Amino acid sequence: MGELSLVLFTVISQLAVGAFVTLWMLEALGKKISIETGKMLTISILGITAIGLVISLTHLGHPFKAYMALTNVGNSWLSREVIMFSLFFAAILIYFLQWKDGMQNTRKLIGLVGAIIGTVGVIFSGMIYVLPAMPAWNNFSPVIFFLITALLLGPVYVSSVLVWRKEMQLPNIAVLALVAIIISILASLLHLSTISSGSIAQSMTATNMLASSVFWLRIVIGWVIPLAIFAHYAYHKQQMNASILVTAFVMLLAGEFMARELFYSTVVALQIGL
Amino acid sequence: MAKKLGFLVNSDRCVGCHSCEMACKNYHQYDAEIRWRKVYAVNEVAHSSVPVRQYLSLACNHCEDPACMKACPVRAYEKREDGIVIHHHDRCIGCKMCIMACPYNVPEFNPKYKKVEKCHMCYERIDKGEKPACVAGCPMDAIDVIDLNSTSEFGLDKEYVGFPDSTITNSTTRFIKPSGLLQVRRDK
Repeated sequence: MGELSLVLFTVISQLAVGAFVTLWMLEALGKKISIETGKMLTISILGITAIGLVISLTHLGHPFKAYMALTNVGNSWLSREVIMFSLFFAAILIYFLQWKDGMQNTRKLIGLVGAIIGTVGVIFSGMIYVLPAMPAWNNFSPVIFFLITALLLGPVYVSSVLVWRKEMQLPNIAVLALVAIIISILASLLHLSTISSGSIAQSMTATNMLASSVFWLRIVIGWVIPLAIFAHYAYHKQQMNASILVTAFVMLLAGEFMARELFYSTVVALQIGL
Repeated sequence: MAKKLGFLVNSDRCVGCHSCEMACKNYHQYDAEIRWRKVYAVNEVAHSSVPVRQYLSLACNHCEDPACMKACPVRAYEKREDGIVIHHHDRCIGCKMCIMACPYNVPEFNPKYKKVEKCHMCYERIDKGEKPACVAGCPMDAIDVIDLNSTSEFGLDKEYVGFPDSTITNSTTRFIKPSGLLQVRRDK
């Protein structure tokens, strides 16, 4: 098992950002969401972010000194990530307070700011791992994978809640999710084939990945089954009910947890003698 | 001109006795599972088709552009004017970012203190005009500290087989490679 707290923190913080951006975008596109549902969604995103932040502390040897991680913003991507996710948490809180009648314009503005902060936060999370010491990560792949996680999980999460609350169907959720899964598959295959033919540390990472049973489980649970579900509904242009959406979401989430676990546990660092 | 201190590792003289590791542990009295200096056995046919037994004694490379210092979110690392990279134990929060970022596997996590540790070139001894414990403890005179700003690098190498690309962080460690074929193994 790789770094469990980092696996949990990165995936659920990216879920929160994806969900927040989706919620803001729905309103920005003129979709009507009731105050009650909006509040519920926002508070759930706030809760997910809070849980993520608490979990991230468990990765530290000295969690109560975590505030010190704000002191090297000039150089450290980790410091920058901490700042962005703290700001993102504050933005969701302020956004939550705007769910009142007549506050739609302010809400859209704060939502825009929060969406930008969150997306930049995810990019900064990815940049932490762009390290020459980790050849398989020393490219755009961590940033791309982290953004894809947000894209995969956020819209399906919001859509599940909206359908469950009998609010509305997210327009073309099946097509959107289908495209996100295909992007995820293509990005992973491209990365895997690139590192397979790369340096020793890179090709060892690819070998570790392919040799892991979790990788093949992830393909089935995180890609193939959700792909089949969304493809069915997209092809038949049917509305997805809450239970199907929740099932697909849980599978995507499990797939992303597995993929992230592989991300940390399969990487081979540069080392003396390699 | 300010000094630029770095370790000189003479693999032609090193016999792999691990005295440097022991001298370091003995001087600093750190925990059993931690090693600030490590001796690696190098592939015997790395430099020639005739096998040559060789060792590489490595500690922190006190890089000109330290990846640990850049990655550390709490400014626990400091690069002194003479080039020595110091890790401030009191500031460390144990996030292990430096462990991930260092291409040479130098910082080590100490589970007892839940903090990272690494070689600081015995800077307190250097400040007194003494050599670091590993240098003083080597019976073969195979390690030294040199000032790269006042020493000719003729005959010295920045790279060594099995040593990650020194240009990633501009490592200040310099190597003297074994003069091949002097030590021919009789079992071959």
